[in-house]
Amino acid sequence: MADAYKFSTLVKDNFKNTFRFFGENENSATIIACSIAVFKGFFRPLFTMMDKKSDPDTKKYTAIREGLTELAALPLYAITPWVAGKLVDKFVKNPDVFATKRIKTNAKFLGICAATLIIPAVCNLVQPPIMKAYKKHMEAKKAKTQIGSIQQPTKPSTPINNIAVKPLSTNLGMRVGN
Amino acid sequence: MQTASISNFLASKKLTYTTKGIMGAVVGTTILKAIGRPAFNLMDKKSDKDARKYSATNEFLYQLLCLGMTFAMVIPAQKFAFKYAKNYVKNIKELQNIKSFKDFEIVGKDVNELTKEAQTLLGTKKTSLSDEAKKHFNLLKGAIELTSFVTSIVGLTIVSPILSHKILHPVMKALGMNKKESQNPALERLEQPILSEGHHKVDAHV
Repeated sequence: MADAYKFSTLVKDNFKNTFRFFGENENSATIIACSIAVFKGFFRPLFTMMDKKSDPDTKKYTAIREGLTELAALPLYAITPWVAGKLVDKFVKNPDVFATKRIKTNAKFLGICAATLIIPAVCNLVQPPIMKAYKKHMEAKKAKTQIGSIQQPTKPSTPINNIAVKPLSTNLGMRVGN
Repeated sequence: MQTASISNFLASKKLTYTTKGIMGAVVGTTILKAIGRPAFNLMDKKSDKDARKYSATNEFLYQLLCLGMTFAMVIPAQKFAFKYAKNYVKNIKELQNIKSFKDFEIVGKDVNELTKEAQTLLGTKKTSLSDEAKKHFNLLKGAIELTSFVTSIVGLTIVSPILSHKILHPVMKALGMNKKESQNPALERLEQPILSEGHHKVDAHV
């Protein structure tokens, strides 16, 4: 009974601490942007790999690119608001503490907005060499398997003489109409 | 002069109220993505005109879907959270008049410098809440923010991609925008320049 009481108190306290953290912190925009990048970095490649309609090579390629995109997004979402906050600290000399706080919050938000526009540009700079290397690796792998298959022709699993001729009256299941 | 006007703009209470919460941040960035990303796609001169149009429209519609998802999921979740977390302020004399989510929003605009509306609602002439009241108000606010946080993540990273798969393709078709089908999609993708495709598939849903 005492253990149960302790556990419920622990859970309550943890919830309270989490609520306090979310209620008092002024970096909500940064936290949500970074968290979305982390979760997307996990779920997007997962969804891509789960798609049964796509070709396996395409899936792998897309999943890697998606992972790389989120990997690039995460530090940008963290750094830009931090830089914005530092700029406010340096340049804004407002005697009103609350006004300075508001300026900092809004500047951080603008930093996040800037990051959303910077990310595509950074991805287009960073991704091409990585994806080119991956493409080369894929092509080399394909060529290797092709050479292997030419050098070692597969033997027929059954001797030609033993191939059974299928009867014409194979059961094709129930037929509707004619 | 210009610096002063910028800092006045940044110090605005209305702007802060919108940007300080999770909902505001998600909506703000989504709107920006809905405008900025299609514009980027259209400006990319390395891909052909049809591909640019396709990716820009696709991107715009996806962000619109995300925006819709945010409003459809986060606002009801916030109200639901308020219902259960209002107990934190129920026994605080200063905050007893907060009875609905709208009341919470009015007071939440700025607890350090209460607006006239908030003062009328709380029946006080004080310009800010006491430290004890702030502490309890922050617990209520935190519960609502945490709910927004969880629903935003679920909405944007799980629900929206699944829905976009089911909704966007038919919508694009209805708009007369079909993606070229190739016989070997893997090869087509590998042979495509990454620069031209980067926007429409990979960077699209950051």
